[in-house]
Amino acid sequence: MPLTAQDILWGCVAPTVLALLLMWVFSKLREPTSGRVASSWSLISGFLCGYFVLALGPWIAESHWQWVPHLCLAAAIVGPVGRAADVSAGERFLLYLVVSTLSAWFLVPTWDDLSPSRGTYLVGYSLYVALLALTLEALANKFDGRIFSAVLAFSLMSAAIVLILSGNLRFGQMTLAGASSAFGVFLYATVTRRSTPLPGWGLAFATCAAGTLLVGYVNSISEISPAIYLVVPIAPLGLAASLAGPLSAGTGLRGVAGRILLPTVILIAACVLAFLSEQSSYEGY
Amino acid sequence: MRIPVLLVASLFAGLFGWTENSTLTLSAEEVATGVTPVSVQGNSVKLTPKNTSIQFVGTHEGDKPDPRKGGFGEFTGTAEVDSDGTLQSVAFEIDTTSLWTEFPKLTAHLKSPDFFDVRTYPKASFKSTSVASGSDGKAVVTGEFTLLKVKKEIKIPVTTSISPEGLTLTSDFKLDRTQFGMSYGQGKVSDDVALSVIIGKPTEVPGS
Repeated sequence: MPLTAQDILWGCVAPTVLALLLMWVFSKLREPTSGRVASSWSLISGFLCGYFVLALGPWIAESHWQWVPHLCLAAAIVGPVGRAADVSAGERFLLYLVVSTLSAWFLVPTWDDLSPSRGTYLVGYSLYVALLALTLEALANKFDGRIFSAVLAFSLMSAAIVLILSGNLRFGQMTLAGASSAFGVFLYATVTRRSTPLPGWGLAFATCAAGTLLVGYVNSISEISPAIYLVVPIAPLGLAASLAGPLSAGTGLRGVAGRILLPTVILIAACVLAFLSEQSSYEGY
Repeated sequence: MRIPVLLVASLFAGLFGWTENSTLTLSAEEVATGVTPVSVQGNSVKLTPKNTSIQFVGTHEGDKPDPRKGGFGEFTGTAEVDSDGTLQSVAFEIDTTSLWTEFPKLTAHLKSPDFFDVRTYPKASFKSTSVASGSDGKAVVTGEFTLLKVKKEIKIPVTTSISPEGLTLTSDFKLDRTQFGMSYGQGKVSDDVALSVIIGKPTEVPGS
Protein backbone atom coordinates (compact mmCIF):
# COMPACT_ATOMS: atom_id res chain seq x y z
CA MET A 1 0.00 0.00 0.00
CA PRO A 2 2.02 2.98 -1.25
CA LEU A 3 1.99 6.46 0.24
CA THR A 4 -0.35 8.87 -1.50
CA ALA A 5 0.36 12.52 -2.24
CA GLN A 6 -1.76 13.41 0.80
CA ASP A 7 0.26 11.06 3.00
CA ILE A 8 3.48 12.71 1.89
CA LEU A 9 2.11 16.24 2.13
CA TRP A 10 0.55 15.99 5.58
CA GLY A 11 2.64 13.16 6.97
CA CYS A 12 6.08 14.39 5.91
CA VAL A 13 6.18 17.87 4.35
CA ALA A 14 3.80 19.61 6.74
CA PRO A 15 5.49 18.26 9.93
CA THR A 16 8.89 19.29 8.56
CA VAL A 17 7.74 22.80 7.71
CA LEU A 18 5.83 23.19 10.96
CA ALA A 19 8.82 22.15 13.05
CA LEU A 20 11.09 24.47 11.08
CA LEU A 21 8.74 27.41 11.57
CA LEU A 22 8.28 26.74 15.27
CA MET A 23 12.04 26.58 15.80
CA TRP A 24 12.27 29.99 14.13
CA VAL A 25 9.42 31.39 16.24
CA PHE A 26 10.98 30.15 19.47
CA SER A 27 14.29 31.70 18.47
CA LYS A 28 12.60 35.08 18.65
CA LEU A 29 11.27 34.52 22.16
CA ARG A 30 12.95 35.07 25.47
CA GLU A 31 15.79 32.77 26.49
CA PRO A 32 16.54 30.51 28.27
CA THR A 33 13.02 29.08 28.41
CA SER A 34 12.47 29.23 24.68
CA GLY A 35 15.74 27.40 24.09
CA ARG A 36 14.65 24.55 26.34
CA VAL A 37 11.20 24.09 24.80
CA ALA A 38 11.88 24.81 21.13
CA SER A 39 13.04 21.37 19.96
CA SER A 40 10.59 19.47 22.15
CA TRP A 41 7.53 21.39 21.08
CA SER A 42 8.61 21.51 17.45
CA LEU A 43 9.07 17.74 17.36
CA ILE A 44 5.69 16.97 18.87
CA SER A 45 3.79 19.66 16.96
CA GLY A 46 4.82 18.12 13.66
CA PHE A 47 4.06 14.63 14.97
CA LEU A 48 0.56 15.69 16.05
CA CYS A 49 0.00 17.49 12.76
CA GLY A 50 0.61 14.27 10.83
CA TYR A 51 -1.37 12.14 13.27
CA PHE A 52 -4.55 14.19 13.32
CA VAL A 53 -4.63 15.59 9.78
CA LEU A 54 -4.17 12.11 8.33
CA ALA A 55 -6.68 10.74 10.85
CA LEU A 56 -4.28 8.05 11.98
CA GLY A 57 -6.25 7.76 15.19
CA PRO A 58 -9.09 9.35 17.17
CA TRP A 59 -8.86 12.50 19.25
CA ILE A 60 -10.14 10.62 22.29
CA ALA A 61 -8.12 7.53 23.11
CA GLU A 62 -10.04 4.30 23.57
CA SER A 63 -7.45 1.65 22.77
CA HIS A 64 -3.97 1.46 24.27
CA TRP A 65 -2.09 2.59 21.17
CA GLN A 66 -4.33 5.64 20.77
CA TRP A 67 -2.64 7.18 23.81
CA VAL A 68 0.62 7.71 21.93
CA PRO A 69 -0.02 11.30 20.76
CA HIS A 70 -1.36 12.41 24.15
CA LEU A 71 1.63 10.96 25.97
CA CYS A 72 4.04 12.49 23.47
CA LEU A 73 2.41 15.85 24.14
CA ALA A 74 2.81 15.37 27.87
CA ALA A 75 6.47 14.44 27.38
CA ALA A 76 7.03 17.52 25.21
CA ILE A 77 5.65 19.73 27.98
CA VAL A 78 7.39 18.06 30.90
CA GLY A 79 10.72 17.29 29.25
CA PRO A 80 11.96 20.91 29.04
CA VAL A 81 10.98 21.45 32.68
CA GLY A 82 13.64 18.92 33.56
CA ARG A 83 16.24 21.09 31.84
CA ALA A 84 15.61 24.14 34.01
CA ALA A 85 18.76 25.43 35.62
CA ASP A 86 17.73 24.65 39.17
CA VAL A 87 16.79 21.04 38.46
CA SER A 88 19.45 18.49 39.40
CA ALA A 89 20.14 15.37 37.38
CA GLY A 90 18.51 13.22 40.05
CA GLU A 91 15.38 15.35 40.07
CA ARG A 92 15.36 15.32 36.28
CA PHE A 93 15.46 11.51 36.27
CA LEU A 94 12.61 11.27 38.77
CA LEU A 95 10.53 13.69 36.73
CA TYR A 96 11.17 11.67 33.56
CA LEU A 97 10.42 8.43 35.44
CA VAL A 98 7.01 9.74 36.49
CA VAL A 99 6.13 10.58 32.88
CA SER A 100 7.51 7.34 31.48
CA THR A 101 5.63 5.31 34.09
CA LEU A 102 2.44 7.12 33.18
CA SER A 103 3.16 6.38 29.51
CA ALA A 104 3.73 2.73 30.25
CA TRP A 105 0.47 2.50 32.20
CA PHE A 106 -1.55 3.66 29.21
CA LEU A 107 0.47 2.12 26.37
CA VAL A 108 1.01 -1.41 27.66
CA PRO A 109 -2.11 -3.44 26.84
CA THR A 110 -4.02 -5.40 29.48
CA TRP A 111 -4.32 -8.62 27.47
CA ASP A 112 -4.34 -11.79 29.53
CA ASP A 113 -1.87 -13.51 27.20
CA LEU A 114 0.62 -10.62 27.03
CA SER A 115 4.13 -11.97 27.14
CA PRO A 116 6.18 -10.94 28.98
CA SER A 117 3.67 -9.89 31.62
CA ARG A 118 2.19 -6.40 31.89
CA GLY A 119 4.16 -5.86 35.07
CA THR A 120 7.40 -6.62 33.29
CA TYR A 121 6.53 -4.23 30.50
CA LEU A 122 5.56 -1.49 32.95
CA VAL A 123 8.84 -1.64 34.83
CA GLY A 124 11.02 -2.21 31.79
CA TYR A 125 9.47 0.46 29.59
CA SER A 126 9.42 3.08 32.36
CA LEU A 127 13.09 2.65 33.17
CA TYR A 128 14.06 2.36 29.49
CA VAL A 129 12.41 5.65 28.49
CA ALA A 130 13.49 7.58 31.58
CA LEU A 131 17.13 6.50 31.28
CA LEU A 132 17.15 7.10 27.54
CA ALA A 133 15.75 10.59 27.96
CA LEU A 134 18.19 11.42 30.75
CA THR A 135 21.18 10.20 28.73
CA LEU A 136 20.07 12.02 25.60
CA GLU A 137 19.81 15.27 27.55
CA ALA A 138 23.35 14.76 28.78
CA LEU A 139 24.54 14.15 25.22
CA ALA A 140 22.62 17.13 23.87
CA ASN A 141 24.92 19.42 25.85
CA LYS A 142 27.98 18.02 24.15
CA PHE A 143 27.07 18.08 20.48
CA ASP A 144 26.42 20.50 17.68
CA GLY A 145 22.66 20.94 17.29
CA ARG A 146 22.88 19.85 13.67
CA ILE A 147 24.55 16.55 14.48
CA PHE A 148 22.27 15.79 17.40
CA SER A 149 19.06 16.55 15.51
CA ALA A 150 20.20 14.60 12.43
CA VAL A 151 20.82 11.48 14.50
CA LEU A 152 17.47 11.75 16.28
CA ALA A 153 15.71 12.21 12.94
CA PHE A 154 17.47 9.17 11.52
CA SER A 155 16.52 7.12 14.58
CA LEU A 156 12.83 8.03 14.17
CA MET A 157 13.04 7.27 10.45
CA SER A 158 14.50 3.86 11.25
CA ALA A 159 11.70 3.26 13.74
CA ALA A 160 9.18 4.04 11.00
CA ILE A 161 10.90 1.61 8.65
CA VAL A 162 10.88 -1.18 11.26
CA LEU A 163 7.20 -0.60 11.98
CA ILE A 164 6.27 -0.65 8.31
CA LEU A 165 8.28 -3.83 7.76
CA SER A 166 6.51 -5.45 10.72
CA GLY A 167 3.14 -4.85 9.08
CA ASN A 168 1.96 -1.88 11.12
CA LEU A 169 1.57 0.80 8.47
CA ARG A 170 -0.45 3.13 10.69
CA PHE A 171 2.22 3.18 13.38
CA GLY A 172 4.87 3.57 10.69
CA GLN A 173 3.09 6.66 9.38
CA MET A 174 2.84 8.08 12.90
CA THR A 175 6.55 7.68 13.45
CA LEU A 176 7.31 9.02 10.00
CA ALA A 177 5.57 12.25 11.01
CA GLY A 178 7.84 12.37 14.04
CA ALA A 179 10.90 11.74 11.90
CA SER A 180 9.85 14.53 9.54
CA SER A 181 9.48 16.91 12.48
CA ALA A 182 12.93 16.02 13.73
CA PHE A 183 14.19 16.63 10.22
CA GLY A 184 12.58 20.05 10.38
CA VAL A 185 14.56 20.78 13.54
CA PHE A 186 17.70 19.60 11.73
CA LEU A 187 16.94 21.87 8.78
CA TYR A 188 16.56 24.85 11.10
CA ALA A 189 19.84 24.08 12.82
CA THR A 190 21.53 23.69 9.44
CA VAL A 191 20.09 26.81 7.83
CA THR A 192 20.96 28.91 10.88
CA ARG A 193 24.30 27.09 11.21
CA ARG A 194 23.46 26.40 14.80
CA SER A 195 26.42 24.82 16.44
CA THR A 196 25.03 25.27 19.94
CA PRO A 197 23.23 22.40 21.65
CA LEU A 198 19.55 21.70 21.26
CA PRO A 199 18.40 20.57 24.71
CA GLY A 200 15.00 19.70 26.13
CA TRP A 201 13.66 17.10 23.69
CA GLY A 202 15.12 13.90 25.07
CA LEU A 203 11.90 12.86 26.81
CA ALA A 204 9.70 13.78 23.83
CA PHE A 205 11.93 11.85 21.47
CA ALA A 206 12.15 8.82 23.76
CA THR A 207 8.38 8.73 24.24
CA CYS A 208 7.69 9.10 20.53
CA ALA A 209 10.23 6.50 19.40
CA ALA A 210 9.83 3.96 22.18
CA GLY A 211 6.08 4.46 22.46
CA THR A 212 5.33 3.78 18.80
CA LEU A 213 7.74 0.86 18.74
CA LEU A 214 6.16 -0.61 21.88
CA VAL A 215 2.63 -0.58 20.48
CA GLY A 216 3.96 -1.79 17.15
CA TYR A 217 5.78 -4.69 18.76
CA VAL A 218 2.94 -5.96 20.94
CA ASN A 219 0.56 -5.82 17.98
CA SER A 220 2.96 -7.29 15.47
CA ILE A 221 2.82 -10.71 13.90
CA SER A 222 6.27 -10.62 12.38
CA GLU A 223 9.67 -12.28 12.60
CA ILE A 224 11.51 -9.08 13.52
CA SER A 225 13.56 -9.61 16.64
CA PRO A 226 12.50 -7.65 19.75
CA ALA A 227 16.14 -6.59 20.04
CA ILE A 228 15.66 -4.39 16.98
CA TYR A 229 12.74 -2.60 18.60
CA LEU A 230 14.96 -1.94 21.64
CA VAL A 231 18.05 -0.84 19.74
CA VAL A 232 16.55 1.76 17.40
CA PRO A 233 15.63 4.41 20.02
CA ILE A 234 18.93 4.03 21.90
CA ALA A 235 21.11 4.13 18.78
CA PRO A 236 21.64 7.92 19.18
CA LEU A 237 23.52 7.13 22.39
CA GLY A 238 26.24 5.87 20.04
CA LEU A 239 27.21 9.53 19.74
CA ALA A 240 28.93 9.04 23.07
CA ALA A 241 31.58 6.95 21.33
CA SER A 242 32.80 10.10 19.61
CA LEU A 243 33.32 12.07 22.82
CA ALA A 244 36.81 10.67 23.11
CA GLY A 245 39.22 8.58 21.12
CA PRO A 246 39.77 8.48 17.34
CA LEU A 247 36.15 9.32 16.45
CA SER A 248 36.45 12.65 18.23
CA ALA A 249 39.56 13.83 16.43
CA GLY A 250 38.34 14.81 12.99
CA THR A 251 37.19 18.21 11.77
CA GLY A 252 34.89 19.30 8.96
CA LEU A 253 32.99 16.60 7.11
CA ARG A 254 35.37 13.92 8.32
CA GLY A 255 34.71 14.98 11.89
CA VAL A 256 30.94 14.88 11.38
CA ALA A 257 31.20 11.45 9.78
CA GLY A 258 33.21 10.17 12.70
CA ARG A 259 30.70 11.43 15.23
CA ILE A 260 27.61 9.97 13.56
CA LEU A 261 29.34 6.76 12.46
CA LEU A 262 28.29 4.47 15.28
CA PRO A 263 24.60 5.48 15.50
CA THR A 264 24.37 5.38 11.71
CA VAL A 265 25.83 1.88 11.51
CA ILE A 266 23.52 0.65 14.27
CA LEU A 267 20.41 2.08 12.61
CA ILE A 268 21.28 0.81 9.14
CA ALA A 269 22.02 -2.64 10.56
CA ALA A 270 18.71 -2.65 12.42
CA CYS A 271 16.76 -1.79 9.28
CA VAL A 272 18.60 -4.34 7.18
CA LEU A 273 18.05 -7.08 9.76
CA ALA A 274 14.38 -6.18 9.99
CA PHE A 275 14.06 -6.38 6.21
CA LEU A 276 15.85 -9.72 6.04
CA SER A 277 13.55 -11.08 8.77
CA GLU A 278 10.47 -10.24 6.73
CA GLN A 279 11.48 -10.57 3.10
CA SER A 280 10.15 -14.11 2.72
CA SER A 281 6.64 -13.00 3.67
CA TYR A 282 6.26 -10.25 1.06
CA GLU A 283 4.99 -12.40 -1.80
CA GLY A 284 1.84 -10.93 -3.24
CA TYR A 285 1.71 -7.96 -0.89
CA MET B 1 -39.75 -32.03 5.60
CA ARG B 2 -38.87 -29.11 3.45
CA ILE B 3 -37.25 -26.48 5.51
CA PRO B 4 -36.59 -23.11 3.99
CA VAL B 5 -33.73 -21.70 6.03
CA LEU B 6 -31.62 -18.56 5.82
CA LEU B 7 -28.13 -18.72 7.15
CA VAL B 8 -24.56 -17.73 7.30
CA ALA B 9 -24.80 -14.76 4.98
CA SER B 10 -26.12 -13.13 8.15
CA LEU B 11 -22.83 -13.86 9.79
CA PHE B 12 -20.73 -12.20 7.27
CA ALA B 13 -23.16 -9.54 6.14
CA GLY B 14 -23.22 -8.43 9.72
CA LEU B 15 -19.60 -7.51 9.47
CA PHE B 16 -20.01 -4.35 7.52
CA GLY B 17 -23.43 -3.48 6.15
CA TRP B 18 -25.16 -4.31 2.93
CA THR B 19 -25.35 -2.41 -0.32
CA GLU B 20 -27.77 -3.23 -3.07
CA ASN B 21 -25.39 -3.85 -5.92
CA SER B 22 -23.19 -6.71 -4.87
CA THR B 23 -20.29 -8.20 -6.76
CA LEU B 24 -20.07 -11.94 -7.10
CA THR B 25 -16.82 -13.17 -5.66
CA LEU B 26 -17.17 -16.76 -6.80
CA SER B 27 -18.13 -18.11 -10.20
CA ALA B 28 -21.15 -20.33 -10.66
CA GLU B 29 -18.80 -23.28 -11.20
CA GLU B 30 -17.06 -22.61 -7.91
CA VAL B 31 -20.37 -22.39 -6.08
CA ALA B 32 -21.72 -25.59 -7.60
CA THR B 33 -18.55 -27.53 -6.87
CA GLY B 34 -18.26 -29.26 -3.53
CA VAL B 35 -21.55 -27.97 -2.06
CA THR B 36 -23.19 -30.48 0.28
CA PRO B 37 -26.50 -29.81 2.05
CA VAL B 38 -26.22 -29.39 5.83
CA SER B 39 -28.58 -31.59 7.84
CA VAL B 40 -31.10 -30.21 10.33
CA GLN B 41 -31.10 -31.81 13.79
CA GLY B 42 -34.35 -31.18 15.58
CA ASN B 43 -35.02 -27.53 14.98
CA SER B 44 -31.37 -26.51 14.88
CA VAL B 45 -28.64 -26.32 12.31
CA LYS B 46 -25.14 -26.23 13.63
CA LEU B 47 -22.79 -24.17 11.50
CA THR B 48 -19.07 -24.74 11.58
CA PRO B 49 -16.11 -24.29 9.23
CA LYS B 50 -16.64 -27.94 8.28
CA ASN B 51 -19.90 -27.11 6.50
CA THR B 52 -19.77 -23.34 5.91
CA SER B 53 -17.47 -21.00 4.06
CA ILE B 54 -17.06 -17.28 4.69
CA GLN B 55 -14.86 -15.44 2.23
CA PHE B 56 -14.17 -11.83 1.34
CA VAL B 57 -12.38 -9.95 -1.42
CA GLY B 58 -10.77 -6.60 -0.83
CA THR B 59 -9.35 -4.32 -3.50
CA HIS B 60 -7.15 -1.28 -3.81
CA GLU B 61 -8.34 2.04 -5.18
CA GLY B 62 -7.05 3.25 -8.54
CA ASP B 63 -6.03 1.59 -11.77
CA LYS B 64 -4.70 -1.59 -10.18
CA PRO B 65 -7.33 -3.00 -7.81
CA ASP B 66 -5.24 -6.16 -7.17
CA PRO B 67 -8.13 -8.09 -5.56
CA ARG B 68 -7.13 -10.16 -2.55
CA LYS B 69 -9.22 -13.05 -1.25
CA GLY B 70 -9.48 -14.09 2.37
CA GLY B 71 -11.83 -15.49 4.99
CA PHE B 72 -12.22 -16.80 8.53
CA GLY B 73 -11.12 -20.25 9.60
CA GLU B 74 -12.86 -20.47 12.98
CA PHE B 75 -16.44 -19.60 13.84
CA THR B 76 -19.50 -21.10 15.47
CA GLY B 77 -23.11 -20.59 14.55
CA THR B 78 -26.60 -21.85 15.11
CA ALA B 79 -29.78 -21.42 13.17
CA GLU B 80 -33.18 -22.19 14.61
CA VAL B 81 -36.12 -23.19 12.48
CA ASP B 82 -39.74 -23.75 13.45
CA SER B 83 -41.99 -26.70 12.62
CA ASP B 84 -42.96 -25.11 9.28
CA GLY B 85 -39.34 -25.15 8.27
CA THR B 86 -38.87 -21.40 8.27
CA LEU B 87 -35.91 -19.71 9.84
CA GLN B 88 -36.56 -18.19 13.22
CA SER B 89 -33.15 -16.97 14.30
CA VAL B 90 -29.50 -17.19 13.58
CA ALA B 91 -26.48 -16.28 15.66
CA PHE B 92 -22.79 -16.41 14.96
CA GLU B 93 -19.54 -15.78 16.68
CA ILE B 94 -16.36 -15.37 14.62
CA ASP B 95 -12.85 -15.79 15.92
CA THR B 96 -11.18 -12.87 14.16
CA THR B 97 -7.74 -14.26 14.95
CA SER B 98 -8.54 -17.05 12.47
CA LEU B 99 -8.52 -14.56 9.59
CA TRP B 100 -6.69 -15.94 6.60
CA THR B 101 -5.59 -14.71 3.17
CA GLU B 102 -3.44 -16.14 0.45
CA PHE B 103 -0.40 -14.14 1.59
CA PRO B 104 1.18 -14.21 5.07
CA LYS B 105 2.14 -10.54 5.06
CA LEU B 106 -1.37 -9.49 4.08
CA THR B 107 -2.84 -11.74 6.77
CA ALA B 108 -0.60 -10.11 9.38
CA HIS B 109 -1.54 -6.63 8.19
CA LEU B 110 -5.28 -7.34 8.25
CA LYS B 111 -4.96 -8.69 11.79
CA SER B 112 -3.13 -5.54 12.95
CA PRO B 113 -4.74 -2.43 14.46
CA ASP B 114 -4.83 -1.02 10.94
CA PHE B 115 -7.84 -3.24 10.21
CA PHE B 116 -9.28 -5.99 12.42
CA ASP B 117 -7.11 -5.29 15.53
CA VAL B 118 -7.56 -8.93 16.53
CA ARG B 119 -5.53 -8.65 19.76
CA THR B 120 -7.97 -6.10 21.18
CA TYR B 121 -11.11 -7.43 19.45
CA PRO B 122 -10.71 -11.21 19.08
CA LYS B 123 -14.41 -11.77 18.45
CA ALA B 124 -17.03 -10.56 16.03
CA SER B 125 -20.65 -11.58 16.40
CA PHE B 126 -24.01 -11.50 14.70
CA LYS B 127 -27.49 -12.07 16.06
CA SER B 128 -30.51 -11.90 13.80
CA THR B 129 -33.61 -9.98 14.84
CA SER B 130 -35.93 -10.84 11.96
CA VAL B 131 -36.15 -12.76 8.70
CA ALA B 132 -38.29 -11.60 5.78
CA SER B 133 -38.86 -14.49 3.41
CA GLY B 134 -39.60 -13.96 -0.27
CA SER B 135 -40.17 -16.24 -3.22
CA ASP B 136 -37.91 -18.82 -4.82
CA GLY B 137 -35.88 -19.24 -1.63
CA LYS B 138 -34.87 -15.61 -1.42
CA ALA B 139 -35.01 -13.72 1.85
CA VAL B 140 -33.61 -10.77 3.77
CA VAL B 141 -32.11 -11.33 7.18
CA THR B 142 -31.96 -8.42 9.60
CA GLY B 143 -29.69 -8.51 12.60
CA GLU B 144 -27.13 -6.80 14.80
CA PHE B 145 -23.51 -7.23 13.93
CA THR B 146 -20.64 -6.31 16.23
CA LEU B 147 -17.18 -5.72 14.82
CA LEU B 148 -14.35 -3.87 16.57
CA LYS B 149 -16.38 -1.79 19.04
CA VAL B 150 -19.30 -0.95 16.76
CA LYS B 151 -22.68 -2.66 16.80
CA LYS B 152 -24.95 -1.94 13.84
CA GLU B 153 -28.13 -3.30 12.39
CA ILE B 154 -27.66 -4.73 8.94
CA LYS B 155 -29.79 -6.43 6.31
CA ILE B 156 -28.45 -9.03 3.92
CA PRO B 157 -29.90 -10.89 0.93
CA VAL B 158 -29.69 -14.67 0.89
CA THR B 159 -30.82 -17.49 -1.41
CA THR B 160 -31.47 -20.92 0.01
CA SER B 161 -32.11 -24.34 -1.44
CA ILE B 162 -33.76 -27.08 0.56
CA SER B 163 -33.75 -30.82 -0.07
CA PRO B 164 -34.34 -33.92 2.04
CA GLU B 165 -30.60 -33.98 2.65
CA GLY B 166 -30.60 -30.53 4.22
CA LEU B 167 -29.98 -27.00 3.13
CA THR B 168 -27.54 -24.98 1.11
CA LEU B 169 -27.31 -21.24 1.01
CA THR B 170 -25.42 -18.70 -1.01
CA SER B 171 -25.08 -15.01 -0.41
CA ASP B 172 -23.05 -12.36 -2.22
CA PHE B 173 -23.01 -8.74 -1.19
CA LYS B 174 -20.82 -5.71 -0.53
CA LEU B 175 -20.00 -4.18 2.82
CA ASP B 176 -18.66 -0.78 3.83
CA ARG B 177 -15.89 -1.44 6.33
CA THR B 178 -15.73 2.15 7.45
CA GLN B 179 -19.19 1.92 8.99
CA PHE B 180 -17.62 -0.23 11.69
CA GLY B 181 -14.68 2.03 12.37
CA MET B 182 -12.27 0.22 10.05
CA SER B 183 -11.16 3.43 8.40
CA TYR B 184 -7.42 3.06 7.87
CA GLY B 185 -6.24 3.27 4.29
CA GLN B 186 -9.17 5.20 2.89
CA GLY B 187 -8.27 6.33 -0.59
CA LYS B 188 -5.82 3.44 -0.93
CA VAL B 189 -7.94 0.45 0.05
CA SER B 190 -11.56 0.31 -1.09
CA ASP B 191 -14.18 0.96 1.58
CA ASP B 192 -16.41 -1.68 -0.01
CA VAL B 193 -15.55 -5.32 0.57
CA ALA B 194 -17.20 -8.08 -1.48
CA LEU B 195 -18.40 -10.98 0.63
CA SER B 196 -19.49 -14.48 -0.22
CA VAL B 197 -21.05 -16.97 2.16
CA ILE B 198 -21.88 -20.55 1.26
CA ILE B 199 -23.61 -23.01 3.53
CA GLY B 200 -22.78 -26.45 2.35
CA LYS B 201 -19.23 -25.66 1.31
CA PRO B 202 -16.52 -26.25 3.92
CA THR B 203 -13.89 -23.66 4.70
CA GLU B 204 -10.60 -24.27 2.95
CA VAL B 205 -7.73 -22.36 4.52
CA PRO B 206 -4.61 -22.15 2.29
CA GLY B 207 -1.68 -24.01 3.73
CA SER B 208 -3.72 -26.01 6.24
